[in-house]
Formats: sequence, C-alpha cells, structure tokens
Amino acid sequence: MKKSSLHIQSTLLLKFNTGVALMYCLLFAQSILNAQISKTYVEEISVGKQVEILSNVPSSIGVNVSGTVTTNNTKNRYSLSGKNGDLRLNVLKDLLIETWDKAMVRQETKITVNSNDDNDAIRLLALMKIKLVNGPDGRIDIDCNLNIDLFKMKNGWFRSDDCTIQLESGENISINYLELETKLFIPKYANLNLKGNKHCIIRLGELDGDLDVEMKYAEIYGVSVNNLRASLRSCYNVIFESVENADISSSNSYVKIDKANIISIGSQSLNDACKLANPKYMRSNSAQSKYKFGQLNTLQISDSANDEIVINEVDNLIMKSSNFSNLEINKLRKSLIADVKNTDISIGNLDKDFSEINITNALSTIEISTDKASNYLLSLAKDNLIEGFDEAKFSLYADEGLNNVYRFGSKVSNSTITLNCDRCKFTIY
Amino acid sequence: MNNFEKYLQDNKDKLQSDSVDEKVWLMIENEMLKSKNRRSKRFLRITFIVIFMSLLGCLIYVLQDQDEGLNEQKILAEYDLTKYNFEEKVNTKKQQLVSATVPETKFEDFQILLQQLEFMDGQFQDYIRYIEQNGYQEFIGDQILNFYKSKIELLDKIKSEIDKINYYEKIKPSYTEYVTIEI
Amino acid sequence: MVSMRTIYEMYAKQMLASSFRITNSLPDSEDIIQESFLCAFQKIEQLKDEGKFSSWLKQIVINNSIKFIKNKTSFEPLDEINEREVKEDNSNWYMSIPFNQIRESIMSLPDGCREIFSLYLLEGYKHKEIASALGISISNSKSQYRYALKLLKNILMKYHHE
Repeated sequence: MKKSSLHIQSTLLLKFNTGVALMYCLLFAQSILNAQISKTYVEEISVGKQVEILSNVPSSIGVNVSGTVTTNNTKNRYSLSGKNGDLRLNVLKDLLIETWDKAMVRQETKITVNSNDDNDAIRLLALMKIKLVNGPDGRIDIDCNLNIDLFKMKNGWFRSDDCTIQLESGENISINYLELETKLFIPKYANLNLKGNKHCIIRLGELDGDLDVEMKYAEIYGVSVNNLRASLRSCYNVIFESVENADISSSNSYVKIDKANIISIGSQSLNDACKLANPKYMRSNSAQSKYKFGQLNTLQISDSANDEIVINEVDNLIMKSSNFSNLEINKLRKSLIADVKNTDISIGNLDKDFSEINITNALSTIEISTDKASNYLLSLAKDNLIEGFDEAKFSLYADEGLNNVYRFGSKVSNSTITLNCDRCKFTIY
Repeated sequence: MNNFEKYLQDNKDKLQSDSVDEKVWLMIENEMLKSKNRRSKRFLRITFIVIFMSLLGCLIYVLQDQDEGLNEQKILAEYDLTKYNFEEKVNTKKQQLVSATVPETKFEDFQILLQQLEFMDGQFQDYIRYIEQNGYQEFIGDQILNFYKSKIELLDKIKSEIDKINYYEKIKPSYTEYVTIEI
Repeated sequence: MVSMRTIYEMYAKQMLASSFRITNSLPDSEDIIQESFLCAFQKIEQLKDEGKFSSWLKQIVINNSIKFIKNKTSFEPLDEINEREVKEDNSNWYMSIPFNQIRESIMSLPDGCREIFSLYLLEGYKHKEIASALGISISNSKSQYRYALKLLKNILMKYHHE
C-alpha cells in the first residue's frame, strides 16, 4: 500500500521533533553530569548490648600532594586548593556523633564529586562503600573516609592540577573536586574509641558507655560519658559537661570537665601516636597542659610537670608527683595529700570540716584560706625555711621534736594540716 | 711442507716491497689530528656539561638548604605570625638566662623545666611539619600564638624559679657549688 | 714512549706487503693499511700486552684485506693435482732466483689462489681459518693452495732454466 505524502510529511516531522527532543535531553543530561554530583551514603548495622566502636576522624583522609597547594583558612573545613586556587578537597572537620537509644550504629556520609569525565564521577560514586563490620569481638570499625585510601594531587610549572582518588582496592579515579561530610549515630551504651592525628572537631552527645580518645590537634566537645580515657597532644579544647571517671594524659592541651567523680592525671604515659618524635622532649605523662575542673569528688595527680590545674570544688586530692605545676583550688572539702616539688598550691576556701592537708613540697608558695569557724592542728617542720607564716595568729599546741604543732580554733578536732616545705612561702589565713 | 715452501716462509720479509708511499702516513696523521680535535671537542663539551650540572646541583642544594633554614621563618611570615616579635622576646629572655646559675643540689630538679623548653621546641617543629604536610589552618595559627605566649611564660617562670632558689640560698646556704643551668 | 710515526715506520712495509699480496692492488692496500693503522692507534689502549702489537696489527690488516677481496674473488676450477708431486720436490732449484723475481711471480698468480697462498704460507693462517674467512670449503682452500704452489713453481722454473 502506498503512503500518502501527508503521512510521509507527518512522519518526517515527528522524527525531526523526536530528534530535537533527544538532543535537548542529551544536552540537559550533559549539563547535569558536568555539575557536581552529590550522594549521601547511609549504612546501619544492628549491634548487641555490649558494643565497642572504633572510629577515625574525617580529617584522617590520606593526602599525597606533589606541587603547589594552598589551604583555605576555615575553622571547620580541611580544604586543599591546587595551583590556581581551585578548591580540590573539602572535608568537613566536624564529626557529629549523636547517641540514641537504638541498638544500632548508623553512618551517614555525603560525598560531592566533580570530574572532567562524568563517567569517572559516576564510577567513583558507584564504588564508594560504607563498611560497618560487626567483628567477632563485637567491635564496629568506622571509616569516616569510606574506602578512600588516598587523595592525590599533582601539579607543576607546566602542568595543571591532576587529582586522583585512590581506593582501598588500589583503583585510581580522576576527579576535579571531592567533598566529604560525615555524621554518626551510636547507641548510648556503646563504648567509643576515637583516634586521629589531624585537626578535627568532635561533637559527642550523651554517652553512657566509655570513651577512649587518642588524639592530636583535636577539639572534643562532649556532653557526658561514663569513663573517659584520654591521651592528648595539642588538643586545645577537650570539654565535657560530666564524666564519671577520667584518666587523662596530655601535653600542650586544654581540658575542661565540669563535673566528675574521679579524675586521674598522668597515671599512664601518652600513647605513642601522641608523643613527639624525640622522646627526650617529654618525660612526664602530663605536661604543659591546662586543666579546668568544676566539681570533683577525687582528683589524683600521678605525674605532672608545668601543668596548670584549676579546680572549683574537690573533696579529695592526691598529688603523687608534680614538678613546677600550679594548683589552684577554689574549694577543698576534705583532704589534700601532696608529695611534690616546686608546686605552688592555692586553696581559696578550705571547708571547716576538712579532714587532712598534708603537703611535702619545696621552693614553692602555699596559700590556704580556712574557714574562721574551723578547728584544726597545724604542724610545721622546724628545720624548714618558711616565710610568710604569721605565728602570732596561732597558739603553740605542742613541740614534737622535729615539728612545732599549732592549734587553730577552740574546739577539739581531728582536722590537721601538716606542712613539710623547705624554702617556701606559706600563708594561711 | 717441502723445502721450497719453507724457503719462501723463511724469507717472507724479503718478499716485501721496498717502501711505502709517504702519503699513507700523511693521511694517517691527518685523520689522527681530526680525531684528536673531535675528542678534544667532545671532552670540552662533556666537561662543560659536567661543570654546568655540578653548578646547577650546588645552586639547587644551596637554595634548598636556604629554603629549609628559612622554612620556619617563611611560614611564620606568611601567616603574619612575626608581627608579635615573639622570636625576639624569646631570644632576649633566653639571653638573660644563659649565664644563670643554681646550686648543684637543685640542678637535677631544674632540668624538668629545661626539658619543658626542649619539649616546646619539639612541639614547634611539629607545628611546622603539620603546616608543611596539611597546609596552614586557623587552629594552628591560634596554637602557635599560644605557644609563643607559653614559651615566654615558661622563660619567665625559669627566671623566677632561679631568683627564688638564689633568694633562699642567701638566707639558708646549702654550701654546694653553683652550676650554670645550660639553657 | 715510542711515537706513532716510529711504530708506523716499523710495521708499514710489512703490513703493506701482506695486504698487497692479498689484494694485488697497491692503492687499495695503501688505503687498507691506513685504515688499519688508524684503527690500531685509536684502540691501542685496549691492547693489554704491548709485545703483541705487531700480530694484533697484522690481524687487523689481514681482516681488512680479506674484507676487501671477499665476494670479488673468483676461484678457478681445478683439476686434480698430484700432491706427491708437490711434496716430493726436495731439490734446491729456487735458491738462485732473486727475491724480487719471486715476489713478482707470486703477484702474477691468479687472484683466488694467490690470496690463499699468501694467507697460508706467508701469513700463517690455517686452511680452516681461510675457508671460513673467504666463505669457501676447506678442501677448496687446500686445492687452491696446491694450485698456487704448482703455478708458482712452474713460473719460477722458467727463471731457473734461463
């Protein structure tokens, strides 16, 4: 059967229109593909009642740069730009770790990627994987950088930026730009272990479990944890509202805990990753750090050098070894036992019902402000050179051979202050 | 071999032609001279290349060496950290302590403070390495500023501790030798 | 230290004669010894034993000469030669013939057999080496040598009888 010319014309027109439409679709698709592509990967895994989670931090991403690199000066972004200042790597340094009641660990990582060849970007996104593996020992390992092994950038005098993502599988994919943002959700009862040696900002919700951190250059903002074990170097903001027990070794850091039951400083040596390359630089488990504590039941200082320790309120304080550190206590409720050297101690308010102050020290300044209503015995070693002590305010209670014992207050009390501090300035009022 | 063959073999020298045309030697001599010139030129060229490469190597080495030496200052200058003149203040304070002495009995205790100084130097090198490896970031600028303040505080502390020791030493001498603190 | 000129003078005549007996062309032999001396002088540092210089130089000259004549030489087909006839001649008939006569007679021999004659008898090459260098069979080398010897004897006998 012969087709009419009108039918042929309409068929041709239809074909032409279809062709134009297809061309537009392709151009549209092309424009989309040339733009940055983002994808948020979400992975969840159920966990048992006892779970330990080990995570690195987003800035742990391996970077290998050869050529000119510049960094964008932003507080919470780890950003690298190439030769012409084009942004190539942009990692959100903030790691938000929310805790929840679910027996589940969840990782959300958003990847934004741009590549000269759209197929490369698509391939990279297809190969990205979150690995939340529930190991035989019940530990969940989290990699904030997914399965990226290395971000590589090369450029030179006659060569523009050449960026590659190397995956753990060894596969290399060319890209122009990579952006990563990670967020974690973990059970409240989990024990969390964090490790990192580049600047990052950890924001942690309420954790009923334990927190073990081994960090360099990190900032940690936590709400509450049960047991905290921290090995820190150059961590300028490690701040917790509440900690049941803490064991902290640190250097060149600032640690603030508002409320704690027991805090121990310097009982363990710094982890190797937190030590300086040359061991001679650091012989104390805690040095050159600043600690600020709110309310504590017990503080035990095992090994401290040139630290600055400020406590608002503490019941019991034991200092086993301290050199050239300064201790400032706003209120001491019960006891202070210190065997130290060159350590200035200041007690702003000694509770009237305190039990014992026993200080062995040398070459330091000691200031104690007592409650006027308190009753106690003060024992001073006779052979010590002590300046600033106003003997007139006290009555000599006993001469015990090596010590002179003075009495303060009219009532009999078990409260005692014993001071063996040669070449010291001692003020008590 | 018969007698005739032996005779020829024994007298082969006498079967030679009388002379060789002088032009043969002249040609040889000419070629030798050309070859010598070629070798000399090649030698000169190689010598030149070797000297040039050595000089280039030395230049790169010197520049690199300078670069390493200046790296610390370069980084500090680049991020405007020199405006506080910390380095100068630190040096002045260190200078004041160079000849400081303490009684020998206190020397051991005092080493802890000097170790802190060493620790700070090590920490500073770590900052520089961090910047080299990861680029400059705001937090590290804050830390370096704080580092300098801490270092000055530490030097002040060392000074005041020495003063304290020597003050008490005057009142209650320990009758031991004085030693320099070796800062 | 001996100069190159001295060395040249020591060996040039001998080398030219060796080459000439092979090439039968004086200009070509002159070119060959020139090339050979140049080669020897340039590579003299490679020679570990100075005492072996002359044999080393001779080797170069002969090799260059063979290279020159190779593929140019044609060997005459030979009839069977009675070896005994050659070997059993023990008389001294040649003693009275002047050496320049002998030299000229040698040079008048056909190219192929003359070359083999020179290489075998005067340069001390073995038939196996000659065969290999010239790309012929050993038996052909031997035959060509016997042929050259017979021819030379025939030529010289004429002078002897004269």
